[in-house]
Amino acid sequence: MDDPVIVAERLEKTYRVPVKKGGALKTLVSRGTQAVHAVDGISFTIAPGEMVGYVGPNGAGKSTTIKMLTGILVPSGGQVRVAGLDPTRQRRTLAARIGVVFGQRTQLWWDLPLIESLELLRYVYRVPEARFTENLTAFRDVLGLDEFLQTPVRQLSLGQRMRGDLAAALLHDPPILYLDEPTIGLDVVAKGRIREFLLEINRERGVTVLLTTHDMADIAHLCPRMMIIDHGHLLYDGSVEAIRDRFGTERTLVVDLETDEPSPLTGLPAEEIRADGLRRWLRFRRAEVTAAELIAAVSARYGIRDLTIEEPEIEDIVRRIYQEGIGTRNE
Amino acid sequence: MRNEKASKSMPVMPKQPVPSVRPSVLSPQSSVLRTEFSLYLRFIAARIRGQMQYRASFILDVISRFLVNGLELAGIFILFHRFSSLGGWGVGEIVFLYALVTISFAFHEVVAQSFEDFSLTVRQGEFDRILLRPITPIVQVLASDFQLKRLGRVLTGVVALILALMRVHLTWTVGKLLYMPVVILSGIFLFAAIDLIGGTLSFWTIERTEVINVFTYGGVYMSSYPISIYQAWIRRTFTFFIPIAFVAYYPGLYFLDRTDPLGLPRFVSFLTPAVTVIFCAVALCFWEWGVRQYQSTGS
Amino acid sequence: MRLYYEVALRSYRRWIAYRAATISGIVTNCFFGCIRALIFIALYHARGEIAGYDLTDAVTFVALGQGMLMVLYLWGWWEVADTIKTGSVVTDLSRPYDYYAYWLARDMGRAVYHLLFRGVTSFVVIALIFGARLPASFGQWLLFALSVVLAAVTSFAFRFTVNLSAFWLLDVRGVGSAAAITATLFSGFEVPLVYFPGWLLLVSNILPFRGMMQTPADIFLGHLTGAGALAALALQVAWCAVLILGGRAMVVAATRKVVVQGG
Repeated sequence: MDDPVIVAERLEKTYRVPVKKGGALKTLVSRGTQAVHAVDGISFTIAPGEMVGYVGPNGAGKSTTIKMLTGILVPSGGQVRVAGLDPTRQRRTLAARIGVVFGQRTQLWWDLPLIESLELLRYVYRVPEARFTENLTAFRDVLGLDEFLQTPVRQLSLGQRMRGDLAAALLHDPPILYLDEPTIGLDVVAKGRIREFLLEINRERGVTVLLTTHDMADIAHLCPRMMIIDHGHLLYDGSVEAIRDRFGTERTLVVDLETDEPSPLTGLPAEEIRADGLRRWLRFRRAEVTAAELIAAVSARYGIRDLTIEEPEIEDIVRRIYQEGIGTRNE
Repeated sequence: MRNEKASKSMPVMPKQPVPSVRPSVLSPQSSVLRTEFSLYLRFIAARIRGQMQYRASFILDVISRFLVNGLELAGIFILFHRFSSLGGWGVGEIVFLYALVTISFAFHEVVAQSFEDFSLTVRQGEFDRILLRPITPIVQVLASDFQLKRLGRVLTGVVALILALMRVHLTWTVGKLLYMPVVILSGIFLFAAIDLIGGTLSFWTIERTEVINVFTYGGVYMSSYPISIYQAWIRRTFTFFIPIAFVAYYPGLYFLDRTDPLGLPRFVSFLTPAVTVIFCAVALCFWEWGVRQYQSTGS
Repeated sequence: MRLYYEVALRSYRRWIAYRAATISGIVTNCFFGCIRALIFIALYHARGEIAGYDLTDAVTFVALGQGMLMVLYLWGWWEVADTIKTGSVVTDLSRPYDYYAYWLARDMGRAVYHLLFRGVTSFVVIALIFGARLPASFGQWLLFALSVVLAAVTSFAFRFTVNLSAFWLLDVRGVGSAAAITATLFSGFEVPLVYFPGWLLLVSNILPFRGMMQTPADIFLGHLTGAGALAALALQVAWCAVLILGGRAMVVAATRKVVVQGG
C-alpha cells in the first residue's frame, strides 16, 4: 500500500458567528458571538489513486473540509497533510500540486476565449511548453474542446464551461483533484461525459480524486468509497456498496400512466407514495423485487408512457443512518 | 477498444509532479517578483487584446469618460469667470491642482480598480480561487481588472494640465521637472493604497467600504482647491488619515511657488513620496493581516 | 389610477429596503455638500453679492442641490434600456396598462423615497451646519413643492426618452452620458446658472433642464416670486408636456417597430 496522499487527524474548524439580538443598530454596536463547530474532529486517510465521494446535506461541513485541505482555511484543531505538505504553511507550494473545480464557479476568465485562459494558466503554474501542448492535445480530444476553444467563456454553455474548467484544473498535472459538485445543473448527456472523463484521468493518470456531490448517481458511477459527513462529524467511511445494500435499498419508480387510474395503484410489489395526475411514485425494495420485475408488473396491469428510477437522496440516507444506526463504520 | 484510444490520447503522468521552476540566478525572492511581474503583464496584455476587439465601443467609452469628468473642469472655469480668484488663487492655479489629482486618480483607476470592487470578489467566493493559485494574491487581484477605457479620465487631466499651464506662468526648474512625475506616481500609489485598505475591510463587512469611497471621491473633489479653505477636521483627515492632500495641494505649493496661508513649512511639499511609501506599507500590512484573518474565519 | 398608485407604492417600498445604502448615501451627500459650501465660503470671502446671489443664497443652493440630486437621479438609470436590450420589453408593451404611466409611477415612487429619506436629511444637515435661507411664506413653500414635483416629472420624462433610444441605437451609453452631462450642467447642479456667462445663460434659459434645479431653487430662495414664479412654473409645465408627448410618441413608434420586426 502506498503512503496516503491526504491525511486528516481529528480535524476541527470552529467559526464564531455573530448572534443577532435587537435591532440593526444594536448588532452594529455590540456583537455577541456563538461558536459553530463546522467540522468537529474528523479523521481519514486517502491513498494515491483513490476516488472518494464526500457527501452530506447542505451545511454539513463538506466545503469547510475541502477548504482546509487546500489551505484556504486554517484549521482550529487537528492535523492535515496533503501530498506531504502542510496546507496552511505551504499553501502556494501545495497549490501547484492540486487541481480544484467548483461546479458553481468557473476559474476561467469570463471575458477571454477559453484558449487564452488555458494559456494564462500555463504561466501561472509554470507548465513547460511541451508538457502543456501534450496535455492540451489530450484534453481537446477527450473533452471535445475544439468546438469552443476560441469562444469567450461567458458565451459557453454550462456543460462546455465545465469541460473547460476540468481541462484548466488538470493542465499542470496535479496528482490530486478536488471536485465540488462537478455535475450540478448539467443534463444527463453532459453528466455522463464528465463522469467518463473523470474515470479516465483516474485510471490513466492515477489522479487521486475527492468529490463532493449531491447526486448519488455521481457516487455510484465514480467512487468505490464514500465518506458521509453531517453536523461536522463523519457518519460513515467505507464502501459505497455497503451503503447501497443497507440504505440505498429503497428506490422509487416514477411512471407516467397512459390513462388515469384510481390512486393508489394496487396489486404491485411496491407502494405508491405520491400521485400527481397521471404521474405516480412507487417505492420498492431492492431485496424484494428488481426494477425490471416491477416495471413488468406495472406494465402488465396499466399502460405506461414513460418511466424513470430515482436513487435515494443523500438526505434520505443520512436520515436513515440516524434512525437505524450504522454497523459498518470503518476505523 | 475504448481503453486503447484513451491511452493513446492521454499521456501518462510523470511519477513526480512537475517541480516549479525557480531559477536561482538572483535571490529567490527577487526572481519570484520578476516572474510574477511578467505574469501580471501577460494578464494585462490578454485583457487589452479582449478590450480592443470592440474598438468603436472603446473609443466611445474613452470620449464619454473624458467629457463626464470634464464637467467638473467646466464648472471650475464657470465659477472663476464670476469670482476671478479664491483667496489669492487664480483659475489657472486651481486647475493645476485639479490636473494633478485627476491624472493620479485616473491612472489609479486604470490599474487598481479591482481593489475598489474587491468586496464583490470576496462575496462571489472568487478570493478562494485566488488562494488556490501559486501566485501572490495581491498580484492576482490587480490582474483581475484592467480597463484601458478609463484612460478617458487621464485625458481630462492632461487637457486640464495644458489649460492650467497656459494660464499660470510656472517658473520651471530642473527640480520641478524631476519632481512632477514623482508626485504623479506617488499619487497613483497613494490612491491604490487607500483602495487596498477599503478592499481589505470587505473581508469583514460590505457597508463600511462604501464609506471609504465617500472619502476617496470626496477627497479627490476637494483636492482641486487649496486645502487651507477647509475646516481643521477636514484638513487633518486628508493629511494624516487619508493623505490625499499630498497628491496635489502640498506639492502644488512648491510647483506654484506659493506659501501655505496657515504657515506650513516648505519641506511639507517634498513629503509626498515618503508619505506614499509609509501609507503603502501600512496598507500592505493591513492587507496581509486581513488575508490571514480571512483564512482563519473564512467568512 | 389605483394600479399606478400601487406600482408607485411598491417601488417606494423596494427602495426603502436598502437601509445601509440610504445611510451611506446621506453621508456622501452631506460630505460633498460640506466641501461645496466651504468652497463658496472661500469664494465669497470679502465679497457681497455676485450675480445677484449672496453667500447664504449660494450655500442654500448647495444644500438644495444635494437634496435634489437623487430625486432627479440624472446618472445611471438604465432600467428601461435594459429591458429593451434583453427583449423583455415586448411583454411589458403588451400588458394591459399604459406603458408610459407604469414607468412614471415607478419612478415617482422612487423619487418620493429619495426626497423623504436622502433629500430632506441631507438638506437639513447641510443647512444646520452652514445656515440656509428658508421660504418666508406658506405660498412660497407651496410654489416650491409644485416646482419640485414638476422637476421630478421633467427629469423622468427626459431620462425615459434617453432610455427609449435603445430601440434604435445599439449602445445607449454614449447618448446617455451626453444626456446626463448636458442635464447636470444646464440644470444648475454643477454650478448655479446665475454664475453662467451671458451667452451660456441664454442657452440654459431655452432648455428644459433649468426647471430641474435652478427654478425650484430660485423659488425657494425668493428670487422668483409672484408673476415671475408663475411664469417659471408655466415653463416647467410646458416642458413636461413636450417631453411627455415626445416620449409617448416614441413608445408608439417603438411598439410599431416591435410588432413589424418582431422585436
